[in-house]
Amino acid sequence: MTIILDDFHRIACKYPDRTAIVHCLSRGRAAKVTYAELDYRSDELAAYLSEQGIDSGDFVGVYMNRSIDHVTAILGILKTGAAFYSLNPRSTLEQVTYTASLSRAPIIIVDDAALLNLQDICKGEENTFSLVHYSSEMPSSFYEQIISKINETFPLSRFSAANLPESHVPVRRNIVPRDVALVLFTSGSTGNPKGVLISHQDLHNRTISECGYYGITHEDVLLNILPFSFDVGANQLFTAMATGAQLTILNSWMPADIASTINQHHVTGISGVPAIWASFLNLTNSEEAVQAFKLVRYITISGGDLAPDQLERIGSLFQGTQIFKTYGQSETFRSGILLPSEYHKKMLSVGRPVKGTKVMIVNSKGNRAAPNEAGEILHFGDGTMVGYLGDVKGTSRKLRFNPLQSKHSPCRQHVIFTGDIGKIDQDGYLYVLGRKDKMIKSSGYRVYPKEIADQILRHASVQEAVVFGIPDKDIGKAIYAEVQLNAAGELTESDLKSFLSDKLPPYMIPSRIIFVNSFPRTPSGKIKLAEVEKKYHE
Amino acid sequence: MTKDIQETITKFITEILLKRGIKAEPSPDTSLVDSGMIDSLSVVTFVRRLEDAFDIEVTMTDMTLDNFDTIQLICDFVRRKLAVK
Repeated sequence: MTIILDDFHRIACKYPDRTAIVHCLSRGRAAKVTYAELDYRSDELAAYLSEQGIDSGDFVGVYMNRSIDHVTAILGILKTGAAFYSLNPRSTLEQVTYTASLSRAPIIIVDDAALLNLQDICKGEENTFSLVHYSSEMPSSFYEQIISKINETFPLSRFSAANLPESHVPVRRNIVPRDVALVLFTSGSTGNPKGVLISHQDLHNRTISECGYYGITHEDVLLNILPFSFDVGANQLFTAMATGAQLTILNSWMPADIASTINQHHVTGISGVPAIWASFLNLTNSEEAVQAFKLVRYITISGGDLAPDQLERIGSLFQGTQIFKTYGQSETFRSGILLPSEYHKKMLSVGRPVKGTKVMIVNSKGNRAAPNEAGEILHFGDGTMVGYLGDVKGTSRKLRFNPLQSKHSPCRQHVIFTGDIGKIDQDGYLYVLGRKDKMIKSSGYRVYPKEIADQILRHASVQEAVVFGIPDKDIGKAIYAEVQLNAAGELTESDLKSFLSDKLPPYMIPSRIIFVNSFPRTPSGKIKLAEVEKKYHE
Repeated sequence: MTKDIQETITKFITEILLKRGIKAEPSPDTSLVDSGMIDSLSVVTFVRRLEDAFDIEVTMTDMTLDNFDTIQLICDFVRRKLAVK
């Protein structure tokens, strides 16, 4: 059984001089590293971490922005036999200390900007980890001051990739495929984030599966705009490392940056989320955007869906580019995939189950749903998480025995209860209706927010919309919508309501529509619904 | 005017950081967006403040790392916009 490090090692030997990672900076500058250098640097970091006592069974955090150093840190940690977790640089001090105590991480590797968030960190009973500042460049005087300040109250050591010795003995640990490779901390819309444990075996399977679907080879240049803390972003990284493709890191979701990066670096594949493509639609009149996408072989729409009209527009904007739509969760990786050849026929669906996985719908009576009957989406096979870190109760709620199998079956399957409501049509295509706990019961009707949001998004002035229920003593839940208009959009609440009145029955028209300039978002671009709703709870 | 521009922009940036609980005044050449200190999505909100403060118009194609990654780059951008007004 191969693991991802075997794939990476093979690639580093086969294509030593090929560029592994390009990190795009402002004013056309870029940092680069070859596969041989990346292998060497991560060996050095692994040796350092091993000296610090890191070993199989440990978890090590990477609290850095996406960069060559971040990727080096991930590979270095894996080489010690430990598992890694990535934190976005915008994670708060509280999230950093919470995830460290949950995983009992002895070390968190940080970069310059992460230190800004850690200025007030103190050594205490709960903070038993130490920080390792890892950088291939000398920090500026601005950051040197911050490093000195933290060093007064907290253990912080420094390891630089800038002056490595000429030769070294690589650390090689015996890794068992069932060992945990990484932890994905879910955004946690309610309560604390959960740590989703992914095994080496599954990480390898999901990587190979994605390489197959997208046809990734060493000739590809993948544009990385998603965080490594998010399953889609992490997986994209490993598909590059397993094939010898070039990963081009861009820390900007601004459409003009994406377009110019595609042109400059000859990008062939992009994994994206709906928020990115929605904002791209605003740039459609730009010649650069249209030109740029002529070069791109494929894009993905993952981690949520777009409204029907937006899907149509994306389809016609990116003619000649293969569009894959995928659906999944951190706990399942990818459950459904809609192939480019099916896009125009079934664009409202999230496709059919990914190879190696099975998806089924269980209705409210606990039986397998008929075609087009709605129920909870269950996932099994590849992609299934090992469990939640330090949360037996949470694991047993999410990861259960297959309810359709006999209790006496000799090999009972584990399935993930996704908490999503969906249906499968007569052709086997999966449709996601919404979160089970976000369904709105209003005036005796059951309404899924997506049904309403999809209609709001049909208005030409609307860029994004979110719909939710707010407790109401008369009708159960009142329907509210927050709407962000696009750059040139002008619209009033009553205009939008009358627009909707042609498309939706009266009980589905939001009682309040609020226009906003932007939404609070998770690092993977999802709107933080709990934060939006909180404003309206009295 | 040059000093005013930099002061105003530095003030905006420190306010954004303060909202996240970070007390720091980045030097003019410190990366803001690429480093992850400021989310590229929140540049949109920041741009509205710039437009109001300097009475300039910022388009989608203006919104890039080249124009917004550091306080220095933002100042240069605002000056260019004011010059063609």
